[in-house]
Amino acid sequence: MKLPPRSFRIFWDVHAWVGIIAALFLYVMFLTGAFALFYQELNAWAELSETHAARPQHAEGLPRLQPLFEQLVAEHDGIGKTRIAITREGESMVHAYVAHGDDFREFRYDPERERLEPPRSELGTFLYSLHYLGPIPNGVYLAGVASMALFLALVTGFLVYLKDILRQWLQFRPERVARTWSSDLHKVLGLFGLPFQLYYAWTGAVLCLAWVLVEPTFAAAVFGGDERAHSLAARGTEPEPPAATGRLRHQLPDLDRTVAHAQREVPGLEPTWIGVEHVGDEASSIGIYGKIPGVAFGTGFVRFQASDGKLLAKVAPSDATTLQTFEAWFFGLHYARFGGYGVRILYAWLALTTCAVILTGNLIWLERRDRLRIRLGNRILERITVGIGAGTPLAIAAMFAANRCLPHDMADRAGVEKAIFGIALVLGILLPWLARRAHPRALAYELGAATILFGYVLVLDLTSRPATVLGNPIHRGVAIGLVVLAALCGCTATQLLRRPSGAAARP
Amino acid sequence: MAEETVKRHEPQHSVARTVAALVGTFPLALGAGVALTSILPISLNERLLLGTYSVFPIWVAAACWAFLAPSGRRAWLDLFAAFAVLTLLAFIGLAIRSGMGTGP
Repeated sequence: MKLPPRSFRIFWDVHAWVGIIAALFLYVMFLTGAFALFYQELNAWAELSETHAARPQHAEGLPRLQPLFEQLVAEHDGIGKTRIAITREGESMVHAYVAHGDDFREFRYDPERERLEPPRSELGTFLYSLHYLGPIPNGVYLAGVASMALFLALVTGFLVYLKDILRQWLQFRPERVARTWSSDLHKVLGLFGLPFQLYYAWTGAVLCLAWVLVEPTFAAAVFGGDERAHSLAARGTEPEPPAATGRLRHQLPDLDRTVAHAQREVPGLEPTWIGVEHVGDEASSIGIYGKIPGVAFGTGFVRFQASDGKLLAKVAPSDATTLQTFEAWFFGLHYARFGGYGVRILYAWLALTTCAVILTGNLIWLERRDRLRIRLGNRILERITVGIGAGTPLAIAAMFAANRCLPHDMADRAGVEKAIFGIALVLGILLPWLARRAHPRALAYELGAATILFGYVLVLDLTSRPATVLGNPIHRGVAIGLVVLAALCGCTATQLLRRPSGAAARP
Repeated sequence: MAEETVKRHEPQHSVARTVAALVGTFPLALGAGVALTSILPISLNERLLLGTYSVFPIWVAAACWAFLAPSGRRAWLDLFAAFAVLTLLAFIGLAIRSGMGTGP
């Protein structure tokens, strides 16, 4: 199918402009998305605890919840807090957090001391938050807008290439000039990854924006502003836990008994999140969310009144609404809640190839529109593309290296790691501005530095704790990941240095 | 030569049409979602599913359509006309269900 010339030109421009505006936000989102798929494992690896390594927590079963809950209440003035939650995601990682207003404190379970401790590193969590641009103020909305831009760019790009899609799909001419090889790579990887990218554009937009734009509109237009009626019609449950009354009872629920109660209400439930709302308040409630093995994307949720254990809400796969079943699949596919590590590795690979699609898109813009970089805007775009494109992996590598080099008992170790990420990113962005022209060599040098850092972390781990790296599945997996990352950065850097340029290349 | 390349690719879009396509189409997509939720002859839960989750795909389709409008003025006029039709459909659907006493 061939578009009329006017439509082709319009869609071409829309694809290029929308892509160029959203490209670097999307690049960061997809790159860190590859890490976000393994954020629990990265958190466990980054804790550096020999006990985490030597004895995975699931080896001796999950710890009892009540002592951990009582520890948080006693040590962090828990009575009156908005929420205390314990998560057991990933089967082997127990975390907890205490939230009150803007104050949010996270803890990790130390199996050696059998208690919750402040995290020594937030490497995994930080990279996960970057996936939705969390560290930027209102970043989640920006991520939503970027997802919408991706959606539009993908559809217009598909329409533009529809006329000879099969040829474009399989044509890659690496010996040609930058304009040709980048265009080939953009189309080959873009078309192969199109279903993945379309799905993430759609689910990303829904995750970041639906709750603030779509759901309130539907509640207002269809239910006359009654959000509770909307929630009951959509998901069959009360939207929010009961509000605090302000009258404190100072009586704590027994979480282990409550979990057992939840498992009787929803057979097969494996709780992954146990949250106590308005701790100690007479209206305090306990929400328990979990997965149900054996049911595709099966999840369940139960809410009890904390004071007397009265059942307030229950959602099980057997009585889930059509919308809830759809959402379990819709979000389950986004979060790779199926297929185990195989699917997560495939997703990560697709995310990295999408990064290549995005960066080659910027290169096509520059080479087609302004090969000599006559315009100031294009010179700036080239430098920012090189800076973010190579600076982000460099910053991630620097954060990994910082995690292994900083003193184990350093105060605010997690904060220092994040600061090092920030400094490395700023340096990575500034480097291309030092040369008269942001040559691909700048990109290659930064990726080369990232290769060295990833390799350094791997060598450090293998030499300082070989038994841990070889014996613990999480550490072994991260070691393989480091090899892949170092190889990817190194190969890309080498290829960039070998690229033909100017007259040496075939047109 | 390079200057020529730059000029040849100069975009020919009007600001009004671009704003209509990128921004004006979102209320239209929301209106389409609400209209679907109001008029489809299926259960409320299924209508909510289709209405809620079709908003972003409808937005993309509407944006592509608006970009093809001959002018910014025409794009906005078409958007307003489509929005009016969808609002009317949603209103009729909700009024009929309300009249039947079945709620939304």
